[in-house]
This record gives sequence, structure tokens and C-alpha cells, in this order.
Amino acid sequence: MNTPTFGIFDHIEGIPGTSTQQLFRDRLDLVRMADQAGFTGFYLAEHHGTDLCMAPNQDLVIAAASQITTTIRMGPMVKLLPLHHPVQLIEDLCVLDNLTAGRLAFGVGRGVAPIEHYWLGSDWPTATDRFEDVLGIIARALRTGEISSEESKYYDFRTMPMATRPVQEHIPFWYPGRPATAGRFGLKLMFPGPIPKDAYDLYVES
Amino acid sequence: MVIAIDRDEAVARDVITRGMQGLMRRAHAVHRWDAEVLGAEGAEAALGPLRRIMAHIDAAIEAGHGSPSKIVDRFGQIIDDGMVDHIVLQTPTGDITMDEAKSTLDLFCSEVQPTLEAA
Repeated sequence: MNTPTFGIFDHIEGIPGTSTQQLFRDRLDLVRMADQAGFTGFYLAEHHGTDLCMAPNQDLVIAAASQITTTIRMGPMVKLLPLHHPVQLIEDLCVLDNLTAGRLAFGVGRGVAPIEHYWLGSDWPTATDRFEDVLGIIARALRTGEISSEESKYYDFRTMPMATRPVQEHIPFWYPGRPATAGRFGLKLMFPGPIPKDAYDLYVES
Repeated sequence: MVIAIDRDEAVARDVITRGMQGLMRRAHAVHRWDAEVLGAEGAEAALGPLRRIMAHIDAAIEAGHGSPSKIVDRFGQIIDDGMVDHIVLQTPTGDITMDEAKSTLDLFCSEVQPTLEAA
């Protein structure tokens, strides 16, 4: 059998009695240990306003971890696309791929907690549509080298150059949601638990 | 998948159970303001995905805990199905301590992964 590679997913949850500074130091120790042990991925969640996720901007942790690791891939799992301006997302993504020397793996999603969308100035009813809209802006920017809202329903900004380019020609994009959506957008599917055959087939067919 | 490995399976079960319970408690708390923006009915609907996950907690606890050899057997089955090329472990989470998480990862690296690779 072909042995798969292994990764670690982390919310960076708060621990009662542990200071936030210590929490982050422990997590950086953990990712360094995972890198040295041969794990190939370290992925961070995004949540806001809750101790489920004490580091809502995963990019900051990845930037720090990038300087103490050598081979492990790192990335958000997921970055909540409807909550962020696409220019910011693309620029940060490119910086991270450089800081990690081409080790960025980028998980994308819509988000599951409605209140988070309102806290960050978006809304819930359009979240799925906004997710696809922003994903399209990112995909076009990585393909063309220009960040443009020309085909966007939700953003209207002047087309701008993507001055910082990523290291990787094809950054792996992950999607831990519906198999059909992952397949339709050409995203790698992350499935919660062993994947049933019918879900796998749906992903491949899409 | 949430995972807890210990040579004593009862210890592994205790660790993963605390992890799952703490994770679900926190994941549920994420939704505590939804009614303010969606109303009671909308907030209830927004809990649907989490409820579907919670319905499978017992199965996830069973699948994710055990001795190194038990985990090898379970992962071997998943790998034999031929549909995965990357497996993501979740620890620490919930009320799993950092020391417990490191112990699980140590056993995974020293006993589980080498056995899977040698098979």
C-alpha cells in the first residue's frame, strides 16, 4: 500500500491557566517538533471572538513558524474568504509563500459561524456566493499576475499588479467542505474522517 | 481526525474523550451570538453542520484512540481503501493537554508511522 503523508490541524484553543504568550510558544515548539519528525503539513483554523481560536489571523503564526522550520508545509485550514478583502488575502498569501520558501498550503472556506461574518463587516446570506467570488479573484490573480475585480459581484477596485509573486507556480489549495465544490474548483479535498466511497467518487467526477 | 495514542487504551480513551468534549463545547460556543443576527430559527439552522458532527462523536472517539498497534490497524484500513494521500491529525484540542498531545505524537512518530511505512 502507498503510505500517505501526515499533517497536524490546530485551532490553537485557549487553555485555562496558560498565558496566551505561553500558548503561542508551545505551538511554535509543536510545529518545530512536527517538522523535525517528518510531518508534512501544519494547518491552522480561523475563528473570531472565541477561545476556540486564540490566533484568528493564521498568517502571523505561519510567518513565525516559517523561520524555525525547514520542510513542513503550513497554511490556513481554512481562510474564511468572505471575511477578508481579496487584495489583502492575495498579498498576504504571496508574502507567506515567500517566507515559507514555497511551503504554503492554502485552505479556503466559507465559514460556519454566522456571527463572525457580521463582526467582520460581511453577512451570512451571501457568504457562499462571496466565497466563490473571492476564490475567483484569487485564482485569476495567480494566473495573470494582476489583481482584478472585473468579474466580481461584490468588489469594485482598480486592477493592480501583484507585485509580490508566490514562489510556487501552483500553490496547493484545499477545501474541507462539499466534495462536489472541491472538484468543481479543482481544489484538494480535505474530508473529516475516513472518506466514504460515494463522496470520493462525487469529488473525482466533479 | 482527533487522535489519542497510549499503550494503555483506557488512558487513550480518557484523553480523546476530554479532547472531543472540550472541542464540542468550544465549537458550540462559537454560535452563541448567532440569534442576534439571524433570529432564533436562523440560529438553529446554522447549528446544523455542528449537530451532524456531534452525532458522530462516539464513532470518532472509537476511531481516534488506542494503542499504537490499534491505530496502525485502523489507519491501515483507511490506507488500503486507496482514497487518501494525506491524513491530518488533530491534537491538542479541547481539554487535551500539551504534554498529552506530545505523548500521542511521539508514539505516532516512533511506532505508528514506521510500521505503516514498512507494511
